[in-house]
Amino acid sequence: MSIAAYIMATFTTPEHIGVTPLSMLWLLPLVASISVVYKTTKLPKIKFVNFLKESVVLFGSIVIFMAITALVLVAFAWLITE
Amino acid sequence: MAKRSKEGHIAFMLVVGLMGWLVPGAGHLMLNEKKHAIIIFVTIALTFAMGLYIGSIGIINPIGAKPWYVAQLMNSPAVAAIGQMTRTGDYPVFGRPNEIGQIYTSIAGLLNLLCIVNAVYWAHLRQTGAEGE
Repeated sequence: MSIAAYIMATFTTPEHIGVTPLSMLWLLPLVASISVVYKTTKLPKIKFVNFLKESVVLFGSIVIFMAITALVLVAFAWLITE
Repeated sequence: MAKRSKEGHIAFMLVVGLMGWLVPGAGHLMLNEKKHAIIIFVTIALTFAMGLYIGSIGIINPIGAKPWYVAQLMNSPAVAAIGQMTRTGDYPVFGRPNEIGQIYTSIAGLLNLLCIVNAVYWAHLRQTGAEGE
């Protein structure tokens, strides 16, 4: 199989991803993308260290906030169902 | 930067927005913001490609998933070409790969929309001589 055919095949057949708790980890690369692009639009001058720091802080903030939200929802569901 | 006429100013902002839509980051490149342009292009292209890798090109579905398709179109008009290929339904995709792929490609499109708006805003600020971002 040629390289071109291999690449085409990669993008024409979906990956196998089960409905498991681990599949939630797919959100992490997306959050990283959001953090990087958002900070790019916010910083008028990009200095590597400062840009990296700001992006990491935003990435951490989003992940922590989502984790807290998930915990609150789990606690809420537990209170209702118990 | 020399001041343009009002019509020239609006035309310049339109061109910046259009370039940003044609190729992610090209709007910033027109404003001579090379670092911004490279980061935007690489990040949005990678996010979009990752979505296609996870769910296949079948996730671009102009018939059965119109709201997602509109967001995906914000990446570039080239997405419409993929939409023409998948319109026939030859690339079916279901379940988690479909969800994750659609989310990745749509978020990439919405991020590009943010960058387009940002580039147009910066173009406007520079023309009016305003300070700041």
